[in-house]
Amino acid sequence: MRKRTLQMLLILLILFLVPQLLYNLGFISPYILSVLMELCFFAVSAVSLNLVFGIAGQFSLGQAAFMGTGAYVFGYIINRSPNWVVFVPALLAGGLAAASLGYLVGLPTLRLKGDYLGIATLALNQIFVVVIQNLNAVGGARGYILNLGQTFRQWWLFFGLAVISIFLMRNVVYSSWGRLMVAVREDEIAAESVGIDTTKAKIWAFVIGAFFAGIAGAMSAVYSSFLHPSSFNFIQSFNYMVMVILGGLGSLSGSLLGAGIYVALLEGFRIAKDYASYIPILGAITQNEYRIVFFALALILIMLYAPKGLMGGREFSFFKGKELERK
Amino acid sequence: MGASPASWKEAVVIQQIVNALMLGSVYALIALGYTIVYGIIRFINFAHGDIFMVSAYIVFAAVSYWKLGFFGALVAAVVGAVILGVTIEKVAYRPLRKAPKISLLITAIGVSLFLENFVALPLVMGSMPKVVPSFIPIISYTVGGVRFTSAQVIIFGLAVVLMALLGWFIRNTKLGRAMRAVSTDYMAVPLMGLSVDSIISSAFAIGSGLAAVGGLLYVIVYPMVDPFMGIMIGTKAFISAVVGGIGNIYGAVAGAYLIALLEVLVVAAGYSTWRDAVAFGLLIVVLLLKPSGLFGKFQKEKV
Repeated sequence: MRKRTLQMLLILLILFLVPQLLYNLGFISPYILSVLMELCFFAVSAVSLNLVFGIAGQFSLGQAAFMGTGAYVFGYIINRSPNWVVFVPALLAGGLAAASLGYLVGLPTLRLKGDYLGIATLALNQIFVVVIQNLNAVGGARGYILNLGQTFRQWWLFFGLAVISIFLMRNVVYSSWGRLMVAVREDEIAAESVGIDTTKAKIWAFVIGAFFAGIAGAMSAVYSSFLHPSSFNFIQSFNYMVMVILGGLGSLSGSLLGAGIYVALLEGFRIAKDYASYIPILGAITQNEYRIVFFALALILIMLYAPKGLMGGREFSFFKGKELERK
Repeated sequence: MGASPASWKEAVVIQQIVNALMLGSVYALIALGYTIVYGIIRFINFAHGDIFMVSAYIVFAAVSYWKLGFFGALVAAVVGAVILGVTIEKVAYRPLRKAPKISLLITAIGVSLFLENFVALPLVMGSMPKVVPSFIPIISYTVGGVRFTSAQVIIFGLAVVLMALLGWFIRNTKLGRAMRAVSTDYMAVPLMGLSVDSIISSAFAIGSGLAAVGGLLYVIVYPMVDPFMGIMIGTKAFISAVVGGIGNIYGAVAGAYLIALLEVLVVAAGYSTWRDAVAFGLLIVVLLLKPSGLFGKFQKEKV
């Protein structure tokens, strides 16, 4: 095994063990651990969106619909018999269902570019929500309760799924498929004229991105045990877009950072509130209602001062392929 | 009334058309703001629906706190919305004019989130919906089984007059010509000695002012305001603009009335839970068949 691989495995082991041990020893609350679980599926979703938008250049505002498909299919299957034998097939079924939706979305919308593609995917996202609202088998507009208890709500599961998914997506980017996608993003006409099958590259980007979005959706279903159509509307798609742009378009490791900042801004505010409540003015303006106001302001300021995102398309060195440095 | 079933049915259809004209007028006034801004700087101003929301709140405040009448509320809402729209453009969008377009879009989403949640703060307006007291005398007329109110006449009349004025303005005034010039060739305008910034500012001002009138008209028909009302109405107005051909003001108006009519018909047919899917479904059909919209011009791609 190469030295770098060993290093990487060691870092991942530490990243996994430290929260687990701190939790077992009682240093961090279940709340903090569940924020970290949330971070895991946010990261998977953000990276998968970045694959579609940042790497293949296909502007998609329908991420939440892919996640929702994964979540609902997974939930429907696992609700029949919530045990570990069913878990993996249910998870894969969620991912594959989302991938099929990705294919269906990818196919007709390939005629569209840029803003128009974004609008069309946004519209499909909202149609997905209306369909779920009218689907009584999964609770319709009332929402869908999953009887999972705490069986699957384990830190190792979230961490493991996130690591595997992100690793696989990274490998796609550094494979010849990834190169095709980048070529399509950079100049579609030029790519086509050197013989690249741009349709295939774009559809694969949608299918792979949607598959992992579906996995992220299934993780979110495990996380909350309750699915509601409004958790998958286009406003949620904006949130994943925000994570991707914060981290930097085209930088997969940047998306991890983006998801981290997103969670830190929203959840950190909740934590800061507890400490700030002793200070008069600070206590008043850190109530929950102010959370999103400050989040929005932070978002605007980050965009004004770092319009290309924090990583600006670069990757962290631990994330790069050995042979290739993408600009 | 003693009308025969056939004419009763006819009256119901006409009644639905009247309803569609009301809803369509509101969508159209908001859609114009999207289309003017997109036509000039190719940017989807996601915060536009929230300018509509803020104007509706200004109308609410004008009527219930400051006890103003129709004209007072109109002036307050338009002035407030124009100041808000121009300020947002100056503070949040102008510094990003040379940045990637997607950063601008994210900033607009940020502005939108900020406006919604700022208005929802307990010290500002609170997150609960508020009822707007009636502020114009409502007189009902019945013509051939169809019920009209004076409010509906005002709404439709005001919307049509404003749209006609806008069409005249874009065609015949110096500023209107300058706007069309920016839309045609962004780079050539400064060479002609015109300030792009002030033209863009005035596009935001006009769009916001129209959204404010939309907000006023909306609360006359549906006398309720809440901080998140701008999301769905704004999105549908935006879809209207795309369906009609974004950048084309006549297209936006046509798209708005078309979507309103379809929505009202779907609700009247008893499928109200599918109402929101109509606009989005139509959008996808139009985008796939004619991506430039019903009245948009086809742009050839140059290598």
